[in-house]
Amino acid sequence: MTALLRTSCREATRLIELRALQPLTPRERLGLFWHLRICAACRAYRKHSAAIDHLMVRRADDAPSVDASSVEQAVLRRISE
Amino acid sequence: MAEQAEPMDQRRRFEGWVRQHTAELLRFARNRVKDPAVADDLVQTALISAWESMDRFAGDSSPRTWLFAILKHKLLDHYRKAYREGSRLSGEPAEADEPEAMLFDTDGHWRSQHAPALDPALFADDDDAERMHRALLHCLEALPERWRGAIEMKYLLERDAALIQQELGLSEANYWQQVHRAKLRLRACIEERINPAMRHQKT
Repeated sequence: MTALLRTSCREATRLIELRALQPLTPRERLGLFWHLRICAACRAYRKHSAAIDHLMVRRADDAPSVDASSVEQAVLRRISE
Repeated sequence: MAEQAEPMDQRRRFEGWVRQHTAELLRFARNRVKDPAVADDLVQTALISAWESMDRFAGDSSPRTWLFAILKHKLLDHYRKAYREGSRLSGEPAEADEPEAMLFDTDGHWRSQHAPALDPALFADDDDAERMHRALLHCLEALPERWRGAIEMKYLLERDAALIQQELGLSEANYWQQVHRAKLRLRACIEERINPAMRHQKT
């Protein structure tokens, strides 16, 4: 029990990232669970991290004024060779 | 190279795709690579390899999906190269770049001035999307290119961590360290940017 309470913030934030992609071991899961119960900063981190994931995935791909013509022309030239 | 019954038709069809999709491919690449000239090169290379493998385009996906898949591969190649060059140039791991020592004390607890704040207005779903988007792009650009590669690949490969580790030739622990670092930096940067009023007192 005391070992479980020793999960540090550094470790907890690592587990929050890891968890998004692979299952944690039971020990890691419990450590993270208890840590989040007592640590508001890491709860905030968890929320922000999820928001960033969301943003990264739904990133609007509207760079301002892309001029495609030079790449277009280069490709069209290449394929007509 | 594209030798079928009607090569002219094939070419005309491909030219149509180029005109229709190049701008969109460029936007995608420029949002994911620091140097716009590099992004343009990647798109150009992707389109030319698409043309060269046109006979393998099965038509069971849309041309747009197919072109994006090829571009994603080119991006992955780029990140892999940036990663290797970054490791070579800076040597493993660049101490100055490590966010952990700055953010956490020796016991691994947040240093108080760097602890994330649970401000409900920050990172909220209804936060000004345009502002968040700008902050994200700015903060991605501020990352060292190889961390950026690690985190971009995570989303490009749709969460296939095993494949990313293989692609980068990294051990699992080492890859996670890159992602974790990139995320710590990215989060701190966005928080500062979207809410300067909340900027923690750096003493």
